[in-house]
Amino acid sequence: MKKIILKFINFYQKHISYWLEEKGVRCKYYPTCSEYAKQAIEKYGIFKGGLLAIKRILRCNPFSKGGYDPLK
Amino acid sequence: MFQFFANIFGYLLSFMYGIINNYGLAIILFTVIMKIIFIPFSVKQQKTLKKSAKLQEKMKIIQFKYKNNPEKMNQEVMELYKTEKMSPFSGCLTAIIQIILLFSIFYLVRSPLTYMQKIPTENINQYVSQLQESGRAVSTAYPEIDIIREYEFLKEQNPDDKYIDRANLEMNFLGLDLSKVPQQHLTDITVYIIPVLYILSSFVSIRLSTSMQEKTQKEAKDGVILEETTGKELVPEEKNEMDAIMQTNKMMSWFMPLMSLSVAIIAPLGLALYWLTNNILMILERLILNKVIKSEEE
Repeated sequence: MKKIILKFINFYQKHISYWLEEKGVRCKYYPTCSEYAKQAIEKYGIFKGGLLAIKRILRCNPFSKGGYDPLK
Repeated sequence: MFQFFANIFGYLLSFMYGIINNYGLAIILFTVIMKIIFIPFSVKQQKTLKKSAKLQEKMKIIQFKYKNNPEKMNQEVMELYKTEKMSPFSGCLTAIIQIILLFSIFYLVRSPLTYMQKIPTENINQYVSQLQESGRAVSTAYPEIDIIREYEFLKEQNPDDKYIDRANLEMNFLGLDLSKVPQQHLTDITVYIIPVLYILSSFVSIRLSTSMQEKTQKEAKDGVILEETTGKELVPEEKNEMDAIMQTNKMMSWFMPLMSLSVAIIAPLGLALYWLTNNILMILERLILNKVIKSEEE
């Protein structure tokens, strides 16, 4: 399960994220949300890591500042 | 959630249809209006695009320079993000919203009777079972499209039904039947016209944006390299390595058009028409905005 999710994130980074960027939509943070999600899931597992990733994506909204925000 | 947005878009599309009485023209007008609503966002996004291309290049140079010193690298990255402010409109949540809107449009063209004409589900189910009983083909994926095609027959069956008249949609657009699903009419050449035009427009759009991006990236790269190497030249090997890093994500942009093409083939032509119009408008918008932003910068 964990592997499948990580594979999906990899696929997203390789193919879909590029296309979104072309449309002018791009992550405000470093590391990017997808990278963050990958690290979080690798470190904390699907549930806690996934929750962290969701929280991060919610933070990456039009009203936030963005910036440097590494996984703790 | 998709249904919710599809419903809202349905009101807009049915309003357009009420004015011009043609599904194809209504879709085009709908696309134009959506684009106009989103122009403020597009301006911001175009600016972000330029900025992020520059940011990206600087980032790669930092990553290359401090590849053996992660701590210093993080510090530099943090600095970079502090100096370059990101646009308020970008962000991953925005991306998710865009994907939701994309799916909503698919829902809308897949079930125009539900979302655009607001025919109750019970009535639609009734029409479907009537068609099935009479031995007519009803596709499981797009029953509403079949209802539109068999309108005459259903009208005879339900003369007093006030909803059935709403299924009488004019699907003919410049001789193309927009209710057709390419996958179900593989031998009919006319179904390929819109998807092929769509692919062509995608290629133009991709070329345009990559050439714009390359330009800004090159400017950024040259600027930074000049600034970083004053006094010491880059060794050719290092330069090659750096160029290799820069090249990596250039090739990947073909996946989404391919994906979209396959969706365009299994969906009613109305969807492909929406995408095609959207692409053409996007290309025009890019060209115009690029001119405007450039003259603003100078």
